[in-house]
Amino acid sequence: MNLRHLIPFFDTTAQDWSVEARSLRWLTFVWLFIGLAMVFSAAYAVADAEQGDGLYYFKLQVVWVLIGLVGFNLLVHTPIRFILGVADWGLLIVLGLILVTLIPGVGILVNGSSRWLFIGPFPLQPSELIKPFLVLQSARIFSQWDRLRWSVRITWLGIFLVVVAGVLLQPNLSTAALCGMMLWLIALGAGLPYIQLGGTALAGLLIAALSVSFRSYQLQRILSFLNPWVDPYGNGYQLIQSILAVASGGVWGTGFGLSQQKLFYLPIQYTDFIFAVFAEEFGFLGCVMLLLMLAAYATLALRVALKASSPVHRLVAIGIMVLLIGQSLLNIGVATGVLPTTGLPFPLLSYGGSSMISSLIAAGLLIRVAREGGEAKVVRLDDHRHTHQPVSLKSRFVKRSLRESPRVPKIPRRAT
Amino acid sequence: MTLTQSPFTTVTQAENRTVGQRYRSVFLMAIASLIVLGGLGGRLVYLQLLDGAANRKLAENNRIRLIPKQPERGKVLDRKGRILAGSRLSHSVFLWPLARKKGEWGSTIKRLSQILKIPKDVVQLRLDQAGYNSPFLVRMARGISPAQVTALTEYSAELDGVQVDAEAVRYYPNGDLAAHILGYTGELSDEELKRRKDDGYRLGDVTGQMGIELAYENLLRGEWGGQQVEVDGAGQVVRILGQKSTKTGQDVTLTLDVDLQKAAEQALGDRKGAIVALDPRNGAVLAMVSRPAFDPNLFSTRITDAQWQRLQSADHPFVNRALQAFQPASTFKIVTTAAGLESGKFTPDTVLPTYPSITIGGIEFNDWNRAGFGPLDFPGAIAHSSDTFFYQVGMTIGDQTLIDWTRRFGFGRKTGIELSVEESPGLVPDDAWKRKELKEGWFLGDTVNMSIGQGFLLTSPLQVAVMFAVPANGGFLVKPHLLKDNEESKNWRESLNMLPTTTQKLQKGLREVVTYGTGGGVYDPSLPAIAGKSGTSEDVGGGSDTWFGAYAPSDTPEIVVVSFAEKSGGGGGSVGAPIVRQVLKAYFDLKKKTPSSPKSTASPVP
Repeated sequence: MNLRHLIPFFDTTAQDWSVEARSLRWLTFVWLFIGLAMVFSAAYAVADAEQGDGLYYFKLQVVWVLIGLVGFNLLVHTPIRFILGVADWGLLIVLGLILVTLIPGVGILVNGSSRWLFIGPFPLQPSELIKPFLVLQSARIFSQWDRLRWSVRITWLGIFLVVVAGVLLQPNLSTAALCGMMLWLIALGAGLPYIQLGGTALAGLLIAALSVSFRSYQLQRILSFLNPWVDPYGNGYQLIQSILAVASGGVWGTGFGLSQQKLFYLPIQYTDFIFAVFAEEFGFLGCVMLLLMLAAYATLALRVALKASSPVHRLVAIGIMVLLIGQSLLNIGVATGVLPTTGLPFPLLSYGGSSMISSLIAAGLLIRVAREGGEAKVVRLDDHRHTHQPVSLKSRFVKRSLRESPRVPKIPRRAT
Repeated sequence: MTLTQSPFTTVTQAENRTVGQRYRSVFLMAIASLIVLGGLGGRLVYLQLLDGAANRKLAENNRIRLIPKQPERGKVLDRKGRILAGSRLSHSVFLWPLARKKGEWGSTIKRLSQILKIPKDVVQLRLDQAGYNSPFLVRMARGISPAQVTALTEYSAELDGVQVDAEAVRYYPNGDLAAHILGYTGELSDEELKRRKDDGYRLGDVTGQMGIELAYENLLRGEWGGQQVEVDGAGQVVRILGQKSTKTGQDVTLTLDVDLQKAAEQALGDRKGAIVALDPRNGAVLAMVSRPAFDPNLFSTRITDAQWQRLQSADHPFVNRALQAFQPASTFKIVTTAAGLESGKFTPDTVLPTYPSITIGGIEFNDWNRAGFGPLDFPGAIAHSSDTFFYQVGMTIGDQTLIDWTRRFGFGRKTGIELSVEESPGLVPDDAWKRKELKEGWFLGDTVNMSIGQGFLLTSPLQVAVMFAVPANGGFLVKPHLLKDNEESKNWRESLNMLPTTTQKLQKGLREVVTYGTGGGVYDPSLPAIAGKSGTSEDVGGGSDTWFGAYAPSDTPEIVVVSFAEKSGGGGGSVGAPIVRQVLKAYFDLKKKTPSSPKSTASPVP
């Protein structure tokens, strides 16, 4: 392994990658740059008031970005097959952490939801970290669905269900919904029978409806987005302030750093409602640019999915597309008042270590898939050596099924 | 472009490798993403381009606040410009809800309730009512003591969000003097606030609750001003956008004379009752006393339980007895005389025999001395207050005429004085009322009773004073009033269209009450000639109510005084007349001290 791979941004190998991989890499950096600029702007006043240092959140975010970029670069240089090999254990470990947050007194309650764990001084949000693992493992399972025995299918479906349920019980309805949707879309991409998919979707909706009806505060919150003015200082407050921020942007925006709504009117302006600050400062034009960037990212991700050399790669690409783009769109929908107000961060934009690391890992995976997606230069000798290292599959109950799966063809399709 | 093109191009390429259906899902996802992106773009067009201006304005409102500034309440002055109700600066304690989060108030509330001696839940309730996001200050206490100010400063570290500010509180320099007329001020109650929110009142606003303070609230309250400021979300002022100066409330000058009011209060002493002094020429109220009284200053700050208990132990101290209805007794003979002479059934010189008693419908009606006075004319009957004389008058003219004239003298309805909220209209009974309330018809006995002011008839001391003003001013019904401002521009009286002889006979009779009749107690050699009439109600337990009404000087009357003592025992002549004499003496002594009235000095001397 090359030590340079640990250093974000400076990766000399990039020039040899496929167009998609390079474009995605640069788009990720652009996205990340916008994110850092927005955290600087949105969090400055709050950080100054609460922490006595305007750059408090910005500095922390930079630290998270650097940590995340190390993971990002490592993933970009690690074969997907190897990563897939550890996905199940990763999923189970993070799932364990999620279940730990449910133990009263261990999870840190924030806004009525125990989403946080403290590992030493570091706050950790397992429900964020589990997303890339969920993508990987579900892609792995669904890609070879036909070949798996029912016992294996049921076991993993059960584990996925526990993941979603665990997140739901924190309670973190929005992340649970996102995970559910992502799993479903990966299954759809895998070409599972429509009847099974339809049944699952129905069951999921039913569970969601039940979960909401048991917690009246969730129902009220969910319904308040339809007309936030009914309770302008209660349930509707966040949304009203967010809409006012977005609308105050107008065509050109107020200019970078000049949002007024971020000055304590708009709550959690540097995390879940960071898009509202962006919209106020950069206006309609800025928003259109951001949407275009997301569209470009989505296009590239789907191209990667289409070009992918194996079903599992395609499903990873689809899953990460849903994870990054889907979550971004959901977040924009919340901030503009077309979706119920939920606590979903904007990937790579919102402040938050777990979300940042999770998103960068996801982006790194997508780029790795893009690199393996059919360009001759992807398969370098050093990488090749890695793939030949024995992936320890012993003692894993998917062992047999994995062995049965066809080897990923390493023969470049368009090699000239 | 690539988004829509790529699926097609690659699907054909890869068809032989994998099932086409799998690529369909990618295509579906691309379409779905496109739709969602388009939808969000449309939403942004709506919010930022179409609806932008309106929402921008709302966001603007978010930042612009009016920091309200309380206007100084108008003063209440007596007729010579002396202050009856003013303001003094005192310290008030406010909470600023926005300063802290909802859960953080606990220790502050505890400390605050300890220093201010207000129960914790009262503070909590106030805060709940105002709302935890309210940018407006919530008043917790007014007129706190210097010691409390010191304590609050001392603990200021624990009292985040608490502000101590100088604020004007209502001040009545004369204590309980004229308390019932002035009334008092207090903070709006919740129900009142709901009712009057449209008039621009806010939680914690101080308004008039009784008397003149209530009646002239509109003039006295003034207009709130303030600074228009731009604030950030924490409520910190970013810059000042504009100023709106407060408008001090209008001063109100009353017809009362503080000196006469003091004398009247002294004359009534600790008796339960009322005194009304008014100018018979225009109905201007010169003094109005009601006992027991209260100190309106108590309400300017937060009233303590002990103070409240002490107030409640007195017999209805807040009731203005000058405006409550009682039996008028013999003072009412003025109305019976007027009705008799105006009915045409008697001439001004009619003489009737009087008896120890008269039996009507099997019931014996006594004269008050149970002996009779021999034959009397109208003035003589008034002078002796002969009951049997007026029984005969009442029976002759009949109930309709008597009731009609009672109403024409202003009984049975509010006089029109500004204190109408506290005023009772009294009661003039008639056949319809009796049938409705007592399920029986009008008997001759009712007419007989009414002719001497007994029975169901109820009149307020103020109404009785208005009645005395009729003979005093030559036959006019005046509208009593307390506001001196613009007094000259209005017409305060209305002729009753009585014959001149009727007025003359009344005047003669009332004068003779003092010279040789029942009202000798009012006589004072140092005073101008006085005319008056006593009244003593039936004793229904607890002692009789006693009345005395008088005016002076009897030839050119300028003051009417009516005293009423509730359950005092004794007679109007013995209890009431000396009270009236004291008031009249004070009036004429004061007049001597200031010989030239403001009007005469105003006329230019050539």
